[in-house]
Amino acid sequence: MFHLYLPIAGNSVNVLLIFGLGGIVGILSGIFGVGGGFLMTPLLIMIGIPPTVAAASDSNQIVGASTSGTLAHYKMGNVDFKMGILLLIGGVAGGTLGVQIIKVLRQTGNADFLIKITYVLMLGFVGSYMFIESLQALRKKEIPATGPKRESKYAQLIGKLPWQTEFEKSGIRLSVLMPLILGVFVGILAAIMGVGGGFIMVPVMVYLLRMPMHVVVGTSLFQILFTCVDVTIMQSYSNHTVDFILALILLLGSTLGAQFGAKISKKLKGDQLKILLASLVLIVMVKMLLDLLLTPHIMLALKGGH
Amino acid sequence: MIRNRIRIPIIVMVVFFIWHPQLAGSTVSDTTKNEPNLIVIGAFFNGTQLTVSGKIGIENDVVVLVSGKQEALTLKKKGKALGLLWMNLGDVHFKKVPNLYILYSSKPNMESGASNPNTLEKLGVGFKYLKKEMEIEAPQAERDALANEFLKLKQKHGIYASHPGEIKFGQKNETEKSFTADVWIPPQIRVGEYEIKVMEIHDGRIVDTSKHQLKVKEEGIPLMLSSLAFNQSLLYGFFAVLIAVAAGLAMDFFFGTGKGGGAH
Repeated sequence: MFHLYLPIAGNSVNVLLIFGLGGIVGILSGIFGVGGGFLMTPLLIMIGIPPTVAAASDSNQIVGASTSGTLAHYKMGNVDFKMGILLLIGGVAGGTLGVQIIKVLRQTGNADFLIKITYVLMLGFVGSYMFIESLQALRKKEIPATGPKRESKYAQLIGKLPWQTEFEKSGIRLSVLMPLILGVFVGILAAIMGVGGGFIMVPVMVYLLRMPMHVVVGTSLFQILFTCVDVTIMQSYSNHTVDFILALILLLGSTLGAQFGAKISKKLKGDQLKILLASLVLIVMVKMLLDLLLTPHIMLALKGGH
Repeated sequence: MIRNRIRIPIIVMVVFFIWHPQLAGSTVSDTTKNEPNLIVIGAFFNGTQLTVSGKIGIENDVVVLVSGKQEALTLKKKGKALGLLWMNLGDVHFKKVPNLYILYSSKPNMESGASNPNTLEKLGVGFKYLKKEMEIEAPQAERDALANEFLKLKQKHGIYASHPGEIKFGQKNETEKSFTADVWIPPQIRVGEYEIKVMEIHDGRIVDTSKHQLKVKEEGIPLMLSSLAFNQSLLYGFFAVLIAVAAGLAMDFFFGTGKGGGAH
């Protein structure tokens, strides 16, 4: 009952289960502006989808979810296209560089170790920082929609960079170099970790580019859309791992979820959003840490996945 | 003497494929003739049951094995890095491992029981025999453990299974008894050719064997998508992106925030 056969995954799945998974991840995507790949892929592997197919098909469904999410946020005036395009250019350059780095690391046999450690440290650092910072902000009952704006050394430094320009949508003035350089940085990390990079990009936009949280979410979705279009086409062409049926069911759930998410996002305050995302990131970090520390049930695994 | 008395009507019940729901390849035979036994994978395929039945000598047992082609496989080996963290620590290459191995036997203890502990292994079937036969590119000391883990992984994925004591006996007379094995074919089965082997066992020896071919093929949407994905992969990629974008736009249209408006 309600089963559908997935020709590329080579397995059948319960349609309602996949639809539900897509819906939950879509809500998170719409609220936080993250693609949700870091959540969805492990869930798909858990229900019996081969890791390589899970990761590639997930990118395919993120295309749909982020199209819907970007549009919803665009209508609310929450997409900074200028910033998004600059981050995207940096991200593509960084991603290409990251793929080369991971090739070299695989040859030396240290890739898996580095990927997992990077994952846990990044999630732990980003999650803890956001959590503490948002908690402090909520306690002080200040409700800033933007990140902290102290005249720190960092602020002075980025103020001195050349090619300063106005980002009207975000209401900030920055050097063009900032989104380009940070885009490269996120692109490298995303390629090494094998994810879209939304959960790194969001804190980078909030804390390093100092964009307002609601614009961050819309702009992040806009950027993720293009990243995942690229990944879907490349994975289909090179590895034949995109299961279209799986992606279609996931994206029906996730596009619906993303619309709900965008509405929920609008009702929440910036710091509430940040603390929720921080909690989510920390939960994933703890789960990954437990996977690293607890003895596995089976000492062999299929290749691929995040 | 017990001669070729096994009659195996194999009923391949299956599967509805999209648009034209119909039973595919449903065949019933009460002879040993090689019927065109076929499993059709359609859009709603979720595994299927294969009924293998026949007659054997009154004092004998029977083993039914459904197996696929032998192949080579590379898996990731888990180990401890820095003596603390479990992670994938390199590749292990396996050779001579079948891509499907489903075993049913009439006796519950043919592989590990106390009375006849290694009956199946001596007959050249069962997991213990597979362990002995598979080739693993690893130091001798690790071989046994890796073979065990391999079998565990395949069983977890549903493509290896052992069902001791799950062949039922029915009517009998002074010399013969009938048997029925309801063989579960998992949805993970791949397109290709498989062999159904039925062995009649007497006193730890095979006294009769019957082999049948089983074909698995895709039809309808699964066939269309597989051929597009593998033969025109770039087109498939663009198609996947276009549909995803269209679904995103459609969702926004039907469910979204209206013409340029904000959230409700």
